[in-house]
Formats: sequence, structure tokens, C-alpha cells
Amino acid sequence: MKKTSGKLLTILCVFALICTLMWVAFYAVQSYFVLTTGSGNGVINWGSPNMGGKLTMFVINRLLILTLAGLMAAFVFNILKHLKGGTIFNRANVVLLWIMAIVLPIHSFISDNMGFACSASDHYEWCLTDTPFVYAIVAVLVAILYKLAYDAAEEQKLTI
Amino acid sequence: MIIVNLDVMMARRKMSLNELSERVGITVANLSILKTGKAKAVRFSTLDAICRVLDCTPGDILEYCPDAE
Repeated sequence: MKKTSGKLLTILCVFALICTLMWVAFYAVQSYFVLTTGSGNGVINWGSPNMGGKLTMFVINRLLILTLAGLMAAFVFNILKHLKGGTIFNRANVVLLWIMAIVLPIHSFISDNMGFACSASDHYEWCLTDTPFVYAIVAVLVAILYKLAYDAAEEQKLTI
Repeated sequence: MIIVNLDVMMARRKMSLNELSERVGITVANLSILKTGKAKAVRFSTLDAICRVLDCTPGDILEYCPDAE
């Protein structure tokens, strides 16, 4: 791997880590407003029916965000770890990307519904938009491409 | 399947893995991968260098053996 490519990848990895941190920070601040504002779209409507369900959905949503952030950070750290060896492809990241491909659409689905459910004053209907499918398609494509590149890199490694 | 007879040729020429590695110009680790048959492919340049150092032909190093069904 060229020295400039290594440096560029390191910069991109650091940028990705900063973005992940900002993402988590954003949701931490948002959580505060969702729980304390008291009214409006996407805000917990305290005292409305089915509070248990709404809060469960909220907690699952936040846990999925933390899981995704952890997966992303692990992915970036794995790349940084293998960068010195001259490759950005490794088996651990192949697995991480497949897990992300599953978690991402679930997060999107829960996130979509949380907004409607939390502010609902009475019973709410589950909704299904195209967003989880778009996320799933992109995540699966990325996972497949990474796996193909990993296989090619492994074969290249065993070419003497 | 292709069988790599590198160890046989090395024994015939009384050459160690380290010496072959130095004279061919590839690492001991890579030569070991080749010797143990774990390699997926061999570059012509590598084959050329090994044949030159061991004074043999590719046929002396590589052998085709039909797979047992």
C-alpha cells in the first residue's frame, strides 16, 4: 500500500470515528428533548395510553443506536489495526458488516415508528416505509462488495 | 490437483529453505506457503527464479494428479 493511501485512509478512519461520536452525541441530546419537552411530534407524550410500549420502543431505539455506533467504531478500529499490514480487508469486518446489514434496517424501522408512537395521544398503528428497505439494500451491497474484496485480497496473499 | 514438489527438488539440490529464499528473493514465509501446497497461484516470475536457482524445469516442481472421486 502506498504511503499516501495509508495516510488518507487513516484520516478517513479518524473522520469516521469523529462522525460516529457526533452521531451518538446527537442522539444523547435528542433523547433529553424527547423525554423532557412534553409535547410535539416525536416527543414522549407522558400520561398518554400505552406508555410502557412507547418507552420500550424508545429504549430499544437507543440501544440499537449504541449497537450500531459500537459496530461502526469496531469496523474502523479493525481497519486501522490492519492498515500497517498493508490491507484494509479482514474477516472480522466481513462479519461486522453482515451484522450491520441486519441491525440497520431494524433500527430504521423502530426509529420511524418511534416518532409517531411517542407523540400519539392514543392508540398508534405500526407503519412501514421504504427507508428500512433502502438501508438494507445499501448495507447488503456494501457487505457483499467488502466480502468480494476480502476474498480477492486473501487470494492475492496466497499468490506467490 | 496440482502437487508442489519443491521440497523434493530442494532435497535433491541439498538446499535449505533459507538459502532458496535468499537466492530466489522471496520470503521464507511465502516459500513455505508454496512448499506446503497452500498457495492459490504461482507467478511466472517466481517459477522462473526457482527453476533458475534449482536448475530444473517447472515440471520438476509442479505435478498434476487427477482428483480421486
